[in-house]
Amino acid sequence: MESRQSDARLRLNELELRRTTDAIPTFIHVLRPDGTVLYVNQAVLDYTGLTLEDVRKADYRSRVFHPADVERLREKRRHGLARPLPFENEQRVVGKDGKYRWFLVRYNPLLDEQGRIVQWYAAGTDITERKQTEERLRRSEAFIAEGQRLSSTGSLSWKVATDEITWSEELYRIYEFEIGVPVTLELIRGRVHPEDLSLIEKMKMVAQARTGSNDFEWRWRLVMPDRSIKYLHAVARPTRDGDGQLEYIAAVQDVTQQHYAQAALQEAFDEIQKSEAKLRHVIDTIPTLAWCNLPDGTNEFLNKNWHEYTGLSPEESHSWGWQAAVHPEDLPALMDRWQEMLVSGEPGEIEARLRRQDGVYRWFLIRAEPFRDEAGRVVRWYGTSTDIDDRKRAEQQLRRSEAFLAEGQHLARIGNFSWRVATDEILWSEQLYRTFQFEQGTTVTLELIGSRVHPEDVAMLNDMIDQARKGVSNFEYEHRLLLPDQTVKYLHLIAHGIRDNEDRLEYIGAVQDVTQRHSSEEALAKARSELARVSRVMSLATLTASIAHEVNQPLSGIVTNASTCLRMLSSDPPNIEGALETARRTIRDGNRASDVITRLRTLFSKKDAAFEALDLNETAREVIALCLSELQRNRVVLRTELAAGLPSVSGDRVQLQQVILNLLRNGSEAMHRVDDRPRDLLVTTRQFASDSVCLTVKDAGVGFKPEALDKLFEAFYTTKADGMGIGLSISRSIIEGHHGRLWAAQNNGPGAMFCFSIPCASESSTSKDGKASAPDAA
Amino acid sequence: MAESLVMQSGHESNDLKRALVAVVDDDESVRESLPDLLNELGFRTSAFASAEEFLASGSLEQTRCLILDVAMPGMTGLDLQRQLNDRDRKIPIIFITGQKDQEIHDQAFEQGAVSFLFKPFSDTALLEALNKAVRG
Repeated sequence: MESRQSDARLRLNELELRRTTDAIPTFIHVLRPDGTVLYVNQAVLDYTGLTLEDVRKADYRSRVFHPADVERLREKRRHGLARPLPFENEQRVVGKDGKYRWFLVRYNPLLDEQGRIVQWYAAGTDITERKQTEERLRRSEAFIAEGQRLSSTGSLSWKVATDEITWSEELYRIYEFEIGVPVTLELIRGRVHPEDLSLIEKMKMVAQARTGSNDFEWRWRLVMPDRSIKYLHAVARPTRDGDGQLEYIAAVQDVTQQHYAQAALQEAFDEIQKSEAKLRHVIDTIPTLAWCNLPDGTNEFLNKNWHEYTGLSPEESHSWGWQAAVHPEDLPALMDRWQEMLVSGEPGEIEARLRRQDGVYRWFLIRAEPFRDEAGRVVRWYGTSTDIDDRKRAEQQLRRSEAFLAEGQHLARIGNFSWRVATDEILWSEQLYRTFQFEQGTTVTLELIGSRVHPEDVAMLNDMIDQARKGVSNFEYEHRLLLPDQTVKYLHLIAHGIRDNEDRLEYIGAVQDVTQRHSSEEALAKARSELARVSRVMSLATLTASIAHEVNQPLSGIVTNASTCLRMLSSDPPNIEGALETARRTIRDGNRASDVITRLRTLFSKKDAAFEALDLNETAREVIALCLSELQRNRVVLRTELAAGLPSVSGDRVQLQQVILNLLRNGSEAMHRVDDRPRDLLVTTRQFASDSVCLTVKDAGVGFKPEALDKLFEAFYTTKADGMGIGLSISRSIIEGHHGRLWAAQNNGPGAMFCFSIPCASESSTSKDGKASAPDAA
Repeated sequence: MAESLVMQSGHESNDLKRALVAVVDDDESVRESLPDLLNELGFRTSAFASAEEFLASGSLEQTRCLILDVAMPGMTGLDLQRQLNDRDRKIPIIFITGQKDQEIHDQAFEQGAVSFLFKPFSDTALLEALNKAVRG
């Protein structure tokens, strides 16, 4: 009965329940204790599109459950149904549209008084949305984790008040703690580098003290179990949790690699700095003054050399202070130029004197280059100032020496020229214009030059030009100019040919006006010929000795006779007769001395040898006629053998007659004591060689010893008792002055012969300079 | 000086009167004038135009003094001096010359010359040289 009542009550309830359950949007299943379906509400039927009959069939679950869930759910249901306890599943169920949705199914048992399971009520709630959100979250968490893992970044939350700390997985990995172990500050301290422990305390204090919402960051190190060091970097952001408590959310990054990269970078930076230092060193040590100015022209940087040179400190040279180093005279021009460059933005240079710290100004070449940015604006001016003082000095020196050269050329009357043969382009120095008496700068042509050349030398000039065009390497000429005022100039020209890199011939030469020298030379030649004449006659010593000898002979007699005369007169009784005799001898010797002087005077007083064409035979005959009586007095038999038709000779009549006379007297004297044979004296003339005439005086006297031959022509071998000759030495000098020769030889028989030869008069030998070649030695 | 020399010569006049002084010179004016002066001074004289002539004259033995010219054709004064030395004929020699030649001068003294007179010479210089020559 009770069961009936309960059945009835149940039915009633069932109806009510059905109405209720059909109305609610939850999927309701009523199950028997074995799990088979007793009832489902309308929502299930609507969702699945099945009938109640379908639902009560055994295959219902495999029809609607996701294949992947069927087995898992069966097991879980069998397990849950066995105990009188609620349980739940999350599972996918396919709808009538064929799409699976997620449901959370909660199983609740209906128990009787004995506690036995009567029925199960299963309520399914659609959790698809939540499940998708979860999935997204899970995925995003995975992404974060993945991201954290990839970037070695962990995250944490830290409630400051309670020291409640939660870590992300990655942070566990970073710290190398097992994932999930409770995180405490002590745990953390265990890993922190001893040197950084204080940091943690500080961080905590700061974190507690902070009230703002600004991020803050910390860096610290960990010492890992393997003693390796990790570098961490955290950025923390303060927030307030649901209870309004301060909580930090932080991202902690393992920056060990970055640290090392940083270290490497730092190293690189250091290197760069070092390089900069090096560069700086270079800039400071280059042997020039280097600087950098701003676009407005003020100074930004000056190298050490600049400061050392000028003695100005960086403070002093700052901005426009560098102007103090520029020579006041050079500053205006320098500033003008600088402003010009600043405006134009073009590189440029200027020379100016810079003051050295000791006050000495030296010349510098100042160069500046603009440095532009991408937009082409000048952002800096880089410049150098190079010491060119020595060069400058050299230039001045050069200018001076050029001036000196010009002056020197002017003084020496030397001009320079160059002549390009191919183009007849001629360049003259100033001096040449003066020499040729053309206006400075007149275009020089060969024709122009020709117009000044002495008519007699034009042919030579043309020949010179022809030769030069043929490419002789050097040439030298002397020619004359006939200037408009009819004065004659003598020029001496030397040129040498060079070829430029295109193989064109060019002559570089010098021309000297040697007119003065020429005149001097003429004067000198005159003087020299006089000197030569005198020196040819004899050396001064010989001359003195000769005169002394000539004069002393009669003087000696005079003195002795005078002495004798005195003694004779002073004796008792006086020897009058003897005195008269010695007095007569004194007079005679005096006259003789006078004669000697006269002869010497006639010889040496002559200014010039008067050369003329002479008939040697006639010249000899005149002498013979003069001294014939004397010869006869000395019982000398003179014979002549004068060759007919002899060519005339070039000579001084008087001098040659002097020589002939001397030879005749010598011959005569040599036979003075010859009594055992005729005192024969033979004079012959003949042609000698092809171009000379020869005269021989042959005596039959005492002759001379062969070893005396060399001494014959010394002064004292010739003058004898009568002291008439002037000596063979003088004779020889005269003959040599005629480009002839005088020699002596022993006769085959007794006596000697003396010969001289002199050249025939030819056209050249009769010219005023008397040049003629000497005959060959006999 | 000259007077004293003359007096001295007078004192020894007996010896000197007999002494023969030979003059050898190729210069005729010397041969003409010098013997006269020597005679005036009290010497016997003999003149020769060359060395060869003197050597050939046979008067060497009597010659107490020789007045000799340096430069002569043929045998020179120095040549003659050498020859006399070679023959061991030590005749005192007074050289006379018109030419100043140190070399000849030195050589003459080296060969034993008593005196060396340059023409023209005074009678005093001649007498002094003669005194030296004859006394030696």
